[in-house]
Amino acid sequence: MKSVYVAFIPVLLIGFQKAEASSPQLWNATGATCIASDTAMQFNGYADFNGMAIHNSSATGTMTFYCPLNLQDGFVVHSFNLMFQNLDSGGRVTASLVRMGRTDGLISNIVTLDTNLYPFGLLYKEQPISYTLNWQPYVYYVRVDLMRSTTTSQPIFVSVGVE
Amino acid sequence: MRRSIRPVFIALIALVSMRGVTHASTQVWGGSAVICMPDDQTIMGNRYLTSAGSVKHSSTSSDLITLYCLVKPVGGSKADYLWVAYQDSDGTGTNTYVRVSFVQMSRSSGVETTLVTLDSNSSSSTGFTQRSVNLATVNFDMEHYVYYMRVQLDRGSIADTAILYTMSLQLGP
Repeated sequence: MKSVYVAFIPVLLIGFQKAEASSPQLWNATGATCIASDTAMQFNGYADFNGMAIHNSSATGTMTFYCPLNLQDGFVVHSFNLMFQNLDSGGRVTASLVRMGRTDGLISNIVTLDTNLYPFGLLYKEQPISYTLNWQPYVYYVRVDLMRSTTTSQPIFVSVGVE
Repeated sequence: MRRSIRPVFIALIALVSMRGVTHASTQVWGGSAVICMPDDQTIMGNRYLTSAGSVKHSSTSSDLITLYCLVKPVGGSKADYLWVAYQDSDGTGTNTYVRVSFVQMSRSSGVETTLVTLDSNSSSSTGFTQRSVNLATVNFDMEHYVYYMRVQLDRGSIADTAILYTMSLQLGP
């Protein structure tokens, strides 16, 4: 009987490993592949730039982008990352992993990255977290806000990712 | 030795069983309304508004809003229920509605087939509503088809409300 128990364990472990191996381990999107919000799209507020998203030359204010998250139920998010350019205090980029309740429609931010917390430049920033996606009560997406107060500022939404 | 192994074995079996029964259904795909792409008329007519993850009419518009949402199954290869969360302020009245159609398109011919449609007019609910519709089991065949949701929101006047919140595909009710 003991030998039967021992024989079962490797089989079960192989089953776990196979399930993990077939799951996507990360997700990412560039600025131009995300869906621009109503104000960005309907009032010509943004432009695509080599796969990235920037303000239209004459636009100021906030341009919001929504990126669909395609990671399976039970996926454990270990980090959230954002690549951006922000060269002066007139620009700002924020990115949030958002969950929305399927039964009430309420949203809440799980993690946020904000360029105001970092030096100026072209940067890649990562925020470690530990969060398990649960698609039963929620759906998830990433929201990115690209902001500038003057047309001389050139903030750029390069990419966002989850690992 | 035999006694010491048995509890571990039982615990392991229990763990495997829990993974299988924790959820009565399997989530195959889900998304909020804001991940959908508005069509040309919706954009050029300034008809829509994104708000807190949902999509509804802009304050002055009562024209048709059409959205397309790419479906990429990540939680399994089959689905048999479409769930939608929405608001339709006139319930079964036909002036205002939210319609979500799950569509497959052939990669070789471009021919579309609507697999199922959930229509808010089939419910008298006028507030926030989450409903499902059963469809014949879809075995996702990404080699031959692409899949998406076509969403239509319309309202009789600016006093009415049509809002889309979320959509999900799952296996099991």
